[in-house]
Amino acid sequence: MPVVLQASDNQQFTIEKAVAERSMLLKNMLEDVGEAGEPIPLPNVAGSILKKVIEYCEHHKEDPVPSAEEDKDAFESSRRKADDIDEWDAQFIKVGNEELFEIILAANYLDIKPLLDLGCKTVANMIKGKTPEQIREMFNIENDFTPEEEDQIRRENEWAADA
Amino acid sequence: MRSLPHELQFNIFAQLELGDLLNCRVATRDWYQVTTTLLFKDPDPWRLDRLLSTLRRSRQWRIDARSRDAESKKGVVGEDILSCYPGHHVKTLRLGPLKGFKSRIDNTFVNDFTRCLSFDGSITHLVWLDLSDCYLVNDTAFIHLISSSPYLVHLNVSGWSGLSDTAIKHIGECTRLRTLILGVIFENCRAVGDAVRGSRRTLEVFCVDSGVDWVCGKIVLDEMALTTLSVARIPMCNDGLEKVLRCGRLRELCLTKQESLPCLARLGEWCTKLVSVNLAQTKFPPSTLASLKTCRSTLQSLNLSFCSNVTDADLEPLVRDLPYLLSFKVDGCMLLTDAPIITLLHHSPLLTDLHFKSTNITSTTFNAIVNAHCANQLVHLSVKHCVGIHADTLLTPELARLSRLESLDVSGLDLTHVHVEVLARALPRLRVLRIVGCDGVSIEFAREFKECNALGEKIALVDVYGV
Repeated sequence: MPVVLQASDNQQFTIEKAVAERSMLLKNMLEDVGEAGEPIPLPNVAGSILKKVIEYCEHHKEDPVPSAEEDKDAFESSRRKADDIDEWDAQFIKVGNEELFEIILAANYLDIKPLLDLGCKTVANMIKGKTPEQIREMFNIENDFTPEEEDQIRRENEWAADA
Repeated sequence: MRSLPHELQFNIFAQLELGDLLNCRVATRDWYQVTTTLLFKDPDPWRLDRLLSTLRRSRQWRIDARSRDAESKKGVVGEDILSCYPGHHVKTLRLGPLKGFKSRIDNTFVNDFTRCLSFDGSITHLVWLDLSDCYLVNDTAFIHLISSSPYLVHLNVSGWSGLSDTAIKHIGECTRLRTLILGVIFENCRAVGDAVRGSRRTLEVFCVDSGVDWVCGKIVLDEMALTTLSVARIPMCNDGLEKVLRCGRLRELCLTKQESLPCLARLGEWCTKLVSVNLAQTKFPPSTLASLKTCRSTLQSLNLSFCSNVTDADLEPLVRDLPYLLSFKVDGCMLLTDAPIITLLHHSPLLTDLHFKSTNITSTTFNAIVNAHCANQLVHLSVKHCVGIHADTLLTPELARLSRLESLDVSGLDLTHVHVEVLARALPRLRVLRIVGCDGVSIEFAREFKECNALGEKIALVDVYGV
């Protein structure tokens, strides 16, 4: 039985139930309301992003669903393998910053933990080894500290990093 | 990334190692808060179970951000910080309470902490220990902790008088200290010498403040390459001080309430990189100030408060040579007149703090201040009890040049309501206005001004009582 999703811009996507169930939000929703065949409105997700998310879920539909117990340790295991991203995933997540953040937000909203982890890991990898100036430039953020404040924080950092 | 909610940013930062996390901390204010929460997590690590769970969790840099709300801070160790390296190695232990809070760190906590970390050897990673104001901790617990932490680099036990000489002497066992900040915690000055014995070669920052005037004994320091020396209200031994000065590495010097120290006459000759000099209430040889000319390119702060024997002739040789001076305090220097100060104002364009409390400067100096290069840099200005300044001098239209002034003390001047209104209107950034003992300004007026006047609203404090 296919499931129909409707994005914020009214674009509709028809997908397999197994694909939809990668999202805990959709899985619970389908269990609650049954299979009515009506389109499920997702007002927080734009069509272009939803398309991306569905692509991810299609690829991973065969993956085992993590049990609640495994979920507890998921953080630790994801932490351990921060640099270790599957090749398909790495290609999939090669997108612009704005789109990346949109995907993270969508993954959070739809509750797709592996995708959320992938997004966060990718951002973390972008930050690694960069100077504060490079970080600001990369994410297009302004330095909103006064010179005195910045100086103070850098000094605090010195002792925190002191070996 | 700013578009992401904090919990998601948290997820991202949690993946980073310390160095990257610290870089994010400097990037922007928003990230500063999120990463600081991650780094300096548990607000009340004073219970052992919580402490240990924090240590375990810290392996993952995962901390509960919600525990930092205002309620949980109340009365406990405040922002007390337990920042750890992954692998639950406590590197930094800051147990001093937040300002205004009382410490609840007691012997049991310190003993348990020492025992836990000694058990798996991780205490050897402890390099930064802040026990300031932890007045409930006694000698035994302190000695146990100190003796178990051989690699301690920074130690702060200020504001705390519970330790005896014996405990202080144990600090001498540390051989790698770079920072040592003591409070009034010894009965005999010799203990201080013992405390720095082990780390003579490494110590860079040494501060000790007795809190009250010391009457007997002197601090004897050996040849030490300090960069910061701060001794307040306890006499220094002249020979020891000379040895430290001769090393020439000092950048900050604070010696307050000292009797005659002849070696200061050559201060600038030996130390040419001084950034901050505070000789408040100290009697120093007349040529001391002239010798500071060598610090021309570094000196930012000069405090000569209540050095009552400083004369124009002492200050005159120096005032043309302080181009980077930010803060200048000569409170209570009764012998000073306008002339050297006006020259200083002319040659130091970066000044932000000026303190002339109870001096004989006149309206001429005030006019020079509002017309100086530094006028639009000034943040703090005190002319309290400068009776030589005529109140009407304040009414000059040039007053508007003090566009960054945040605090102004004109207590004791012959002000009226008109003056207060003019000051409030002319100074756009003014937050604190002190008008204690101005006979022409009634307390009722001040209250009304503060509560009913649109100008009063922008000023956070109008002090008429001397708060």
